[in-house]
Amino acid sequence: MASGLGAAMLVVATLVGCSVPVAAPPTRAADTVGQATGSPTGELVVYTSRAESLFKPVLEEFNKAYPNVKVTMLTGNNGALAAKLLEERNNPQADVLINSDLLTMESLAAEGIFAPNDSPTVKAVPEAYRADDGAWVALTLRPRVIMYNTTMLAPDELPKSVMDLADPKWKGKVGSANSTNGAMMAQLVAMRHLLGEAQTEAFIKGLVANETQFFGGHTEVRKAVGAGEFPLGLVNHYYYHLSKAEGAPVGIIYPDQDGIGLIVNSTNAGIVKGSKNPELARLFVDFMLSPAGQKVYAEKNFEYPIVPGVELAEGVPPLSDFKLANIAFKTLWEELEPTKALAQQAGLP
Amino acid sequence: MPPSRKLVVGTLVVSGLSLLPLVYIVVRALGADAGLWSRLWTGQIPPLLSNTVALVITTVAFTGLLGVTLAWVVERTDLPGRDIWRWVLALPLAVPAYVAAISHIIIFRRGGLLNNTYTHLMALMGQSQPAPLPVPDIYSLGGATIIIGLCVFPYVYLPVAATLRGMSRTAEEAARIAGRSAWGVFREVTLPALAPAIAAGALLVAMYVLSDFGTVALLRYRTFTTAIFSQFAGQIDRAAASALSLVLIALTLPLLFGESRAAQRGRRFAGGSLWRPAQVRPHPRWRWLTFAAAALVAALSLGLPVTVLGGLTVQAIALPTEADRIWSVGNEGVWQHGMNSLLVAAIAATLATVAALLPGYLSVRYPHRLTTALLALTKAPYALPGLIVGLSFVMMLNQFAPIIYGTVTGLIVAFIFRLLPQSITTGETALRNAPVRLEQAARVMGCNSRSAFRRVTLPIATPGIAASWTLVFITAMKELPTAILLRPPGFDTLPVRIWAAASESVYTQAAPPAFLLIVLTSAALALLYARGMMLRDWRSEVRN
Repeated sequence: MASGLGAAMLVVATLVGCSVPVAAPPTRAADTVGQATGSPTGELVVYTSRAESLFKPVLEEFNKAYPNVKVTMLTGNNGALAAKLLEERNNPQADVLINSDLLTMESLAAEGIFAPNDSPTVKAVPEAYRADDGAWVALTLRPRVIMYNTTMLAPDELPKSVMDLADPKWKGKVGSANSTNGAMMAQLVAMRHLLGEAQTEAFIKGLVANETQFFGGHTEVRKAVGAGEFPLGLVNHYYYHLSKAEGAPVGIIYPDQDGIGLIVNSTNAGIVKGSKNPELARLFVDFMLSPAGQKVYAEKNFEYPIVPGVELAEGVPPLSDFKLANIAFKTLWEELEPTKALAQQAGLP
Repeated sequence: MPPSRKLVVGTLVVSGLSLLPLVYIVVRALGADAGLWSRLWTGQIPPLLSNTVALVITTVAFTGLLGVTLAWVVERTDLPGRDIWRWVLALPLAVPAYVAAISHIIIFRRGGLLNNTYTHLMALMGQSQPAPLPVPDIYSLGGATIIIGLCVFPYVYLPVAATLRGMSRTAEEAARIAGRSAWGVFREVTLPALAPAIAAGALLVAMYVLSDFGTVALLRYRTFTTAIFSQFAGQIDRAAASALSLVLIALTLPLLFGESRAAQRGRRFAGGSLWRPAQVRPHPRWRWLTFAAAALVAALSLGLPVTVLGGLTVQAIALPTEADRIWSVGNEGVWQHGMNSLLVAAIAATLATVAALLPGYLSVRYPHRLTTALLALTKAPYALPGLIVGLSFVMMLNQFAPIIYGTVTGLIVAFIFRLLPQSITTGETALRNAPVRLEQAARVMGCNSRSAFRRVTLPIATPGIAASWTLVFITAMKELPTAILLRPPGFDTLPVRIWAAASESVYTQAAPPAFLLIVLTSAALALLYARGMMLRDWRSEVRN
């Protein structure tokens, strides 16, 4: 039924395309493709671990440029979608995966889940933030930070390091994502790499002993901090900006500036090998890297665009202001499994 | 006469298929390396075990108290509006517990409806910084117990009320004449007679608590199901999720066997040829107090979710916000998701009900140690988390039927297997109601076994089968994890939409699909009641 409907829409779209002049696409990328082939038409299935409310605005922007491409998204958890892609490898259902953890991308690429992509826009991204063959590419950057409730904590009593959150002093006062969250696991991989197995295990055990509230995602953490359920939350930086924009009494701590530095992860896109529509999938990834696509991430979600020259949202300081952790996640993906075992043993929910 | 070969083969096929997910888990879990088991035993399992067992105990105690008290009040006292209470108190079954949890969260969380209203009121009265309102903490064992308990107490209430109605007055009268006080009669005569019904209800409640995922996840209470989800969602390897599932299944199995034994014992208590209806005693002093108590239970379990979710739905339709647009609520989006749910639930419930007649018929007509054991085994996946059933189907469909994977057909197939254990349980009860003697008479008069079944047994069992279908349909409407894992892209059901919004803490946008879901499930339940099938008299079972 769905494919019949799709075919019908395709026919309608073609008819409309013939008789009604389509408004000039607003982006450069769209121009080139548009001139060559007429407005591209078809369907894409995008799997994404990004929150639906964050991803829909980007899709709407994409559809402004490409009104005849019908994008169907399937949201899910980072690990769940990765597992789904692996189970479906002989029977691919998705065209594109957009996720928010670089380690998962590199692991999937090692399993041969993605198709190489030699698009110039992908090649323009720094090597640390794309697969060597372009099979996946980063879209935006986001450091791990601590957000706090300003009515509950004074500036002089704030924690300075992520490690502080395991201090008994903060018992019952911290919210965090759990082991299902890609960004949280990546943080632990980085800590294990920089600080060693013992310290990381002590950190996780400390969080658990502190009766830290664990959630599947960071939205719940930021809402709970804003509402004053607990004063501290371990999150990605933009969750602070989203709460701030809603008028919640929150502040941000850029942790470990005297220590290991900020841990920076990325959101990424990869084209699934066996995609039924590889041309449209490339178009989609190119759009995500175009100024129009990057602007949505920067403006609506306060993220750091991977493409230079796209303006940061108001109130977002440039990453060059901070000491960043000296790691390249791309080279650490093989440390993900031992870190997961460590987290399992330490009892991280 | 031995059962026909076709019947046996059919039964084996249906039972075998419903056992597939169980086999999948056992194989995966046993394939896990010893290191994983030891990590899980030291890290996760101890707190999960105590959390899960604690919630089972508190919920069983709470629902037992609530169910027995309400049943006694409705059936044995002159409670005003008894006939209405009879079915109102069954309706909470139509409210999925995770939906109830969402409405409680909307009201009671910090910065929720209750707190905001209070702050506004105090501001109107000139107090800008009022002392915080002491709101009960719903993110706790107590919160989870009460919210789940208010949704599932009908599991106890319904069988206990049916037993109370079916009990003859004789024994209670005799005890009374022998000088027992009203309490003494209740404790020494009524309660022992109710014990099997209470046990059966309590076991259903316990199995529900063990398999519930959405409610405990929303209430941040960690049990085996939430941990299984974490392991599944955080790990590409399925071994850890399977290992935890195996522990959960081990917890469930004794309950399942207990349940089938309780159901068998229940038949001994009711009935007799001198049957007379029990006496309804007027309690003039307590009448309105008990009325208030029943009203409070109904208000919390039904009134609160319906009012909160209904109100938010009206608001989303009348004054749509940017968030409503993003979540596509308040327009045709919700209707489409409702249609998707109805389509999948109706087809899957029908096929599961029909398939369940084979094993049900075999065990009713040819009671044997083997058939009983087979049936009990077939019901085992009843308490499996839907997540695990879904997971096994992601794997099996990709391997054996890739063409239907990622289609609505594939989703329906997985739903059928998810529903089979339940439809076998309820279908068996329906078939038990058709007296074997009538079928034997038809055979004597020349019908073969198939036409005897079709012309005698089936027409008698039809109301029961329709009731079974309705219950299975309601379960299918509420089913969340199977749909999360197996829906084709773009084909969301109501529970999936509720879950997607709630897991991003945007509870307001979860309200319209949740409200529509309650409306549809309670309509199905109301239909069942209107046809007089809900409080089926247990006496009819005894007479054959």
